[in-house]
Amino acid sequence: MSIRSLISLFLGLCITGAFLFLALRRLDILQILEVIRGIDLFPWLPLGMVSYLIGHFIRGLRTRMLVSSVVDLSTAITTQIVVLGYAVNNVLPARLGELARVGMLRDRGGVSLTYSFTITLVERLLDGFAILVLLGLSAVFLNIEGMLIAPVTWIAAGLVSIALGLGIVMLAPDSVMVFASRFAQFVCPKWHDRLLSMVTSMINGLGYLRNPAQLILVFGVSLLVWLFEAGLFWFLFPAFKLTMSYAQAVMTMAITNLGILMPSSPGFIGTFHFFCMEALLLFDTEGAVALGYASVVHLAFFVPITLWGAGIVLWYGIELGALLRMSSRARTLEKVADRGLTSISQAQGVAALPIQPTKFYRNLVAALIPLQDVSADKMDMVKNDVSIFVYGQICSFPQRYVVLLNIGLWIFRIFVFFRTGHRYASLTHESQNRLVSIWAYGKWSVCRQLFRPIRSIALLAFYEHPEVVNMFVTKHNTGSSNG
Amino acid sequence: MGKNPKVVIVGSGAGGATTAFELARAGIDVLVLEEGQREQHAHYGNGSLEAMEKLYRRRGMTPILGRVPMGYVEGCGYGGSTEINSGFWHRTPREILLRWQSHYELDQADPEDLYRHFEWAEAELKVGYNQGDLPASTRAFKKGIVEMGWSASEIPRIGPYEQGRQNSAPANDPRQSMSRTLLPQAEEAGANFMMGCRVRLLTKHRNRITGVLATLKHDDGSEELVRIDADAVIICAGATETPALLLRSGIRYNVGNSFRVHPMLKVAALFEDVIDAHQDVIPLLQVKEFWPDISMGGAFFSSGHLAMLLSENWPKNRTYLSQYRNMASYYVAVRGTGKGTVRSSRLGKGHTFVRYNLSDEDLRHLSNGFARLCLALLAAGAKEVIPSVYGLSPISSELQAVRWLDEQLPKSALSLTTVHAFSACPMGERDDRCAVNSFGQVRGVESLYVNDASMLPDSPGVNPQGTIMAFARRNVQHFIKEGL
Repeated sequence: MSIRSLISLFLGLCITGAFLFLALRRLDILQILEVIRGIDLFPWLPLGMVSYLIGHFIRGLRTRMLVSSVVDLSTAITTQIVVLGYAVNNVLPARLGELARVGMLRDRGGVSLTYSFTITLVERLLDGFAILVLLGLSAVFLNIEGMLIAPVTWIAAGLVSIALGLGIVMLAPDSVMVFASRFAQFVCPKWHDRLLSMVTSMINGLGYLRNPAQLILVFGVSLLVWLFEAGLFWFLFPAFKLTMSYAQAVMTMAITNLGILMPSSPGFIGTFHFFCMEALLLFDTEGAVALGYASVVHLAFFVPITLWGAGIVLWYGIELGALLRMSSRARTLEKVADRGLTSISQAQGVAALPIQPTKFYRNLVAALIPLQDVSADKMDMVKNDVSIFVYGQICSFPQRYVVLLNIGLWIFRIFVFFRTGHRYASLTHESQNRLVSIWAYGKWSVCRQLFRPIRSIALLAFYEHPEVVNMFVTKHNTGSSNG
Repeated sequence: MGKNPKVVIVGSGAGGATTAFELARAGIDVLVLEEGQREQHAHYGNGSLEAMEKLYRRRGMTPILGRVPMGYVEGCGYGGSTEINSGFWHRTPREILLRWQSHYELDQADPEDLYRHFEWAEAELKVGYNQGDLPASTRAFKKGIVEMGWSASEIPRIGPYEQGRQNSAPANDPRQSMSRTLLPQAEEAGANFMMGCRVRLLTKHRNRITGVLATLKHDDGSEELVRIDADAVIICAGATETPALLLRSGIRYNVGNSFRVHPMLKVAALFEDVIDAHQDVIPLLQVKEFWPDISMGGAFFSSGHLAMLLSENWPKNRTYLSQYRNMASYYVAVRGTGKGTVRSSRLGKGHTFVRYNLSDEDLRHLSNGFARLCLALLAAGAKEVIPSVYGLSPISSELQAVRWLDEQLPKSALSLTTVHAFSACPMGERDDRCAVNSFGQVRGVESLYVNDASMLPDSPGVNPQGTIMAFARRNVQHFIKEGL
């Protein structure tokens, strides 16, 4: 073991000892034993563990979403990566589980180390924000403020600073790359390629979050993760005959998880117990009961994940040959160098999926084209093809224009709702046509400008569709030559 | 190629192909980076939609915002916009060259200086006139022009396809684009090409450009950021992407502030007789009577493009589609005098934002030109002329048309397009106006040149391919002679 690891372990043990002392100092051992004897674990412990394990599957789903723009991994694999990280944190100090997670993501996804770090950092950031949001909501609900403000403020400030930095990378990737290139060329040209490699890996790592809808979705998933984790805390209240609400469980979970952010011994022994107890003491719970509760929750938190992680490590070891084969997919510098190029970074792309318009876009496009002129058996195909073409064209516009267009279309949907009392998709085809005509061909210039690109492209695509062209030729070439 | 190229050329359109051809023939080690792909010419025969997806930037249309938004159609791929344009050929008008010499202090730009370059290009591209009968849409247009007593001329086109060459084109496509002419010859002479390669940034050491950073897209969908070092970089990425690349790379002096276009308003004419314009090449005549400010001619026609034109007043106009065999499309284009800008987005990934503000003079010329075009078409026997202007009824009499000689078309109702864009990096010796010198060297940096439509000082008033190729060749020969 290296000296650095030894120091890390020693510090962790000191912190564990300190917090255990703080947790136990005012308690009577007999009282604690009495509490333990009175625990009623069934069915509460199994229910709590199910809730906790579901949370881990959701974490795996979130990881899958985050890497989906670069690599296609199954939820099973991404869940393994997440669980391995937590398991290693339980047995090794100083949050070394994060590095294990990074390494496994790199190996199983064939992505760069920087990219893996970015994904892990993004997940931690999302967790931090999710916990803070839940803490805030529960504090408001329970009407508890006061002593939480200062520590929460510091943690929030730190998270916001990191988020701002990542936000800039996410929203202005080209500008960040330009800055990095110019900075390196000015300060140290030898580091240019390496710095750019890190920056582009980070940019790729944040790719999924660039879409606002996806950002909101992944944050929602993060909230769900911690709500299920709070389920573990909530289900164990009755085991100790505590009649506490779900909001109190959320607050207990949040305080505990914020507390274990600090480095400590493996498994967060000491820090977990202390912060969990302190949360319960806010609700006037007896000290012995709070310690008993914290110990059982910690065991539920520690044991299943550690066992699961051990299984993954064994399995991971067996699959080493397959993993090595996966890693070799990445292009090597040697292949590129003989073309007179220097490779800086590589990002694996998922095979481009066909662009699929939303149901709203399909209905919108259908209202703009004369589908009734097409034979019934071809109608769906033509509608589908035209919608895909229109949507693909719109998505090719600069992002700023796409955002403006989508804002305009949302205003249209709100207009439709207020006018008809119904959502656009639930209206009849005739009603949809009528409402779209009001905007696309009406007297308000701004509405016509909004619809112009959609209707122009839709009509072009419709009348260039092979089925429509054939229909045209058949219909009009057999008619009078003077039309 | 196992070493750094001497020259990297960004783009393979009219300017890039000419540059690559000349440099390769001079024995210079050249690498051409092309963002698009090397598409088969068969895509042209497969309908507009597939061609748009494969051959056009942004799958068909680049939006240009401004007082009157318009759509800009630009090629992206091996051969650039030469693969999709009409193939019309013009030499730069004498008065335009004189104007450039006067307003921009453009050196060695006399017509006599450029003749040999035009002659060379015309020989390479087999520029010539239509050999057979004029198509029906052209005959109709000609009849109207003659009735009006205007001067007009058949426009020479880039030549018919030469039988026996490899990579054969469909028989009905006579276009000798760059992919069939200069680019294969450049490759034969030793130029290397890299497709799917988008240049993100120019690398610099102090004041000297040392190469480029580019994203290379591989067949499996993965992307690779590569650095390519070179002794010189010549940017031929087109009227919008060249200034965007310069701006992203921190080169801002007079870059992107003088973007110009030829705004175009289209009309559809309904005739008594069957025209079958969708089966013919676009009309081959252009009216020169009001040139250089206003020109008129025929536009590409298909059922889809007709529908797009009619879409401004679709509820009323849709019935015209059933008469498409009796219809043809025409346009009025003006030599834009408005000012536009090209900017590279600081947010997002490399988006280029283009603005053009239609000037009052542009609007007056468009209105005027529209009136005259309607007169000519009515004189040609058109029953109705349907404009792509919201709220404007079809013109069915001369009295309805002449109104627009004095009045201006309503700005907010116009649906404009353009296929010609230039001037975002004007060349010349004037410090206050020009981004590059008279031979395309970018001001304030070494080893960097621009050699495409963006270097034209302002609107040439004619189809720009000839002008671009002549100046590009002139500039490259100067580059070869003067060295790096």
